Amino acid sequence: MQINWWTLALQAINVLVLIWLLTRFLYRPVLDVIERRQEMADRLLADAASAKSDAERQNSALKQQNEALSADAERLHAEARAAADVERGRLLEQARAEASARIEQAQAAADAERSHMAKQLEAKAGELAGQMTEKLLARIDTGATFETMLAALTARLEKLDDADRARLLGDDPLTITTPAPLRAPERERCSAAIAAVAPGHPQITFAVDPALIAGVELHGPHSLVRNSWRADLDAMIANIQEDDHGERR
Amino acid sequence: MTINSPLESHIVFTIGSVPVAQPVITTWAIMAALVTGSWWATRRLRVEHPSRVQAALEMIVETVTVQIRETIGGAPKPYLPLIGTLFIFLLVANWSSLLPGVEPPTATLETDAALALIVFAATLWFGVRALGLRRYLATFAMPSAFMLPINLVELFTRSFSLTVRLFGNVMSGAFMIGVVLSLAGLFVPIPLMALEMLTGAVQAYIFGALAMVFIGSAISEASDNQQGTPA
Repeated sequence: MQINWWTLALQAINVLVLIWLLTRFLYRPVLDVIERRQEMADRLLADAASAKSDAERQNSALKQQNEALSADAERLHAEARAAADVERGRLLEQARAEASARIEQAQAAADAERSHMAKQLEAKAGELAGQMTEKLLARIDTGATFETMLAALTARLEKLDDADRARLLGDDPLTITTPAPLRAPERERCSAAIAAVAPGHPQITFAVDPALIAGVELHGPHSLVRNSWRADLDAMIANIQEDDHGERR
Repeated sequence: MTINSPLESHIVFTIGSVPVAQPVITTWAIMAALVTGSWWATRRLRVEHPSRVQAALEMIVETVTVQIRETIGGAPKPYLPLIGTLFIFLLVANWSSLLPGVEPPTATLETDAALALIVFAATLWFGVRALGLRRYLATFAMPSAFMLPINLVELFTRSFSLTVRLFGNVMSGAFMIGVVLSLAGLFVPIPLMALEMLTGAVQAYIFGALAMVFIGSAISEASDNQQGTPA
């Protein structure tokens, strides 16, 4: 075995030359293009980072704007809620007032209706009482009734004070009203009774009013002496009504 | 086909008193092919939308760069021409045995010795450049002065081992293919040739990796005497 030193030297030179040539034609161009691509990527990354930063800044600004809008919305909502509460209170109060007015109105209507019905009932009761009295009187001697009622009229006339008596004497004519026509003796007795109380009265007339039921009444232009069952019934109904009103109050 | 002794280089011609052997001519052909191919492949490089050839070139360069960065550490750019050229040249030279009538230049001792000599010189150069002459020489006496002879012997023996490893593997493969081809005809050596392709690639990688390890150990003061070298 023998080493050819020339070959060794030439091969060493060849490899060194190859290193230089490949550096010139392979590594440098490839590294350059890789480096340029890396620079482009870095530039793109920097642009992306800048864009991201801008986006984050805009996002922050939008967040602040959103928060401000939220605060405004909250304030407007609170104001609207307060206004709605006020309006609701007003409407509620108005509804209550209307309801109260309607209740009072209904109450008044009910009272009026009840009063009207009460009056109707009272009138009906008075009418029934009159009818019942008439039926009862039909079974009683009318002469005795006349005598009793004439005595009562005479007693009332005798109890008149001077002023009333003078006013009674001043009325002309005086009318004696009875529920049924009087016979002549009964008329004379009435005239005599009047003359006993008011002597010298010029004229006395007679009238018939079945509504009196029973009794003898004296009517003048300016005076009235009631003396009948109708007057008594009216007085009793009036007393009952006064008692009812007193109890309601 | 005649089989020459693997330990002898056939002189093709002489230039003056300089004999030019067959491996030198084969190396020139490989160099021409590599340079022409590089020029052709890199004549239209583009930053955007690279071609398939450009993508393959960038992948090769990036792979070597990553290997250098992981093995040596630091910026890989100063070491890329040496390591990359060693790997590419050894790969092409080893695979040149697959061409009919071509004897790979790495199957001769002179070529392997020249490559190991370049790695040896590069190790010294990068070591001195990184640490300075005094500190680099001081690394041979680490961790103690008693290690100085051993480290000096290791400096030469590992380069020698580079030569012998590459020479033995490639020469034996090429020689065996030649012997089988002369005995068994055309198709029988094909499996051996496939194995030789694998062996050639592995040897190219090992040679480049060891060169990176030697340079890395030279520029790394701390790991200089602690990092073992493969046999």
